[in-house]
Amino acid sequence: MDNRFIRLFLSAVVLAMGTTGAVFAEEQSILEDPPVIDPNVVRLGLKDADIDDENFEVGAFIGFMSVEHFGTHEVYGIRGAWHVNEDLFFEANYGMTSVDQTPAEYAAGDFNLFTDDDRDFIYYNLSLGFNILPGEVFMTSDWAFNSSFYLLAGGGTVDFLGEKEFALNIGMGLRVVATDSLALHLTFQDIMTDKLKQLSDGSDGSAHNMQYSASLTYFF
Amino acid sequence: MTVRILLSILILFCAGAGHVQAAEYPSVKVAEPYLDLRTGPGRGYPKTQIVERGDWVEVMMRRTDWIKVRTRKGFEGWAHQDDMAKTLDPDGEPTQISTVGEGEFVHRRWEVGFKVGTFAGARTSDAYLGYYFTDNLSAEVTVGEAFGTSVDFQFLNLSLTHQPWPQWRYSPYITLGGGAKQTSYASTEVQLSSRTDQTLHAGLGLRVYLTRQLMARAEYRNTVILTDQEQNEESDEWTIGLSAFF
Repeated sequence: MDNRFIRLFLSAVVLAMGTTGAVFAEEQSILEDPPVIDPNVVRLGLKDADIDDENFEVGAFIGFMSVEHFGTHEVYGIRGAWHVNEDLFFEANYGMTSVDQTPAEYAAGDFNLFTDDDRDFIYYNLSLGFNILPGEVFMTSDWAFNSSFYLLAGGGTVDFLGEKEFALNIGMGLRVVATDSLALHLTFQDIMTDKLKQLSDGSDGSAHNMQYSASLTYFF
Repeated sequence: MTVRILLSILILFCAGAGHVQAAEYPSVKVAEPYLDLRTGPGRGYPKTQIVERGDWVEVMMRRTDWIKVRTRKGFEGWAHQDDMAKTLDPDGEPTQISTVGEGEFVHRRWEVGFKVGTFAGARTSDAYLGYYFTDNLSAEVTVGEAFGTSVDFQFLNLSLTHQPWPQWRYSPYITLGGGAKQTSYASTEVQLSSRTDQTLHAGLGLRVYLTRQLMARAEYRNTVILTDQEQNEESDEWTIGLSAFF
């Protein structure tokens, strides 16, 4: 008896709800007939500005540089890059190293040809970079980082021994992208200076100042 | 009724929670038969996942032409912007992905780049920044250095350039301006102090649209150096360079 009563009651409730709902919907449609084109429509569409662009890279490097005739010393500096597309990027470098005495100075004992300020080898340059050999570096069988081998070529200024000169540079490097915004580089660069060649052995041509460095960069 | 209210709250809460998650990154729906995802932002990286038509992906970030997306299952990969342009945004419209092309080259506003060449027999390198008032007319600031065998120059100048045919891929221009030039003598044999002179220049050049945001540039400039001496000096400068525009 109870069961039937509850069933009946429930059916009534359901019916009532159903009908009122229908009536309500009808009333609403009559009262507020929506316009054909709703002027207040909210566009959810994805705008290009909503996507975070990360094409710039800045960082610092540390390594060793062999200045022809002056030996090999620590070099450090900063670098920045702009990635134009997957193949091409622009890179700017600013680096410095300090050299010791020349072999001639050592041989002569307590005799210096240059002041300490002149012994700072400071360079800045702008290069075009080409990404070649994209790939992955596997740390373990299922833990890998994206990497790319790249070539660099450009020019800039070298300030050394009280003279400035235009210097061409070529190089290559390996970029390992650790996270979306951090990358590790191992880079090799040859900065070619003519005046230094002239000074070191009196001959024409270029002195090859080789630099190898490691850098950490941040993408933004 | 209580159950309904509770259910509604629950549904609202779920939707809200879902919405919070979705609000972090915008989502797009795959409209082509499938969307390829690669392990890295480049055509050399392997394709390891596809997203089927009708599935949604979250748009995380962009590097050059590649867009990093996350699938509903949490897999992350890189899709090319051309493929992303074929997806649909939440309104059901094609996703707007901007690309830079020759059209933007004509209507560029900013130009930045560097040039190398010879200036009065010395090797020169300079960097410049230009702003376009109109498609034809731009103002440009240039800083540079030139190193000769015994003399070094550093210069800063301001130019006005005019290109009569901005819509041409090979677009010639004229440039006029002035600035300052510092001359220092590198040679230790003659002890001459450095001096700064005013300069005026006029030149002809050519901009060539390369690809995307890049153009090549070649320029000839005749610079008159206003010295204190009886006669003004004149120098020729020939440069080639590479610019990016925005």
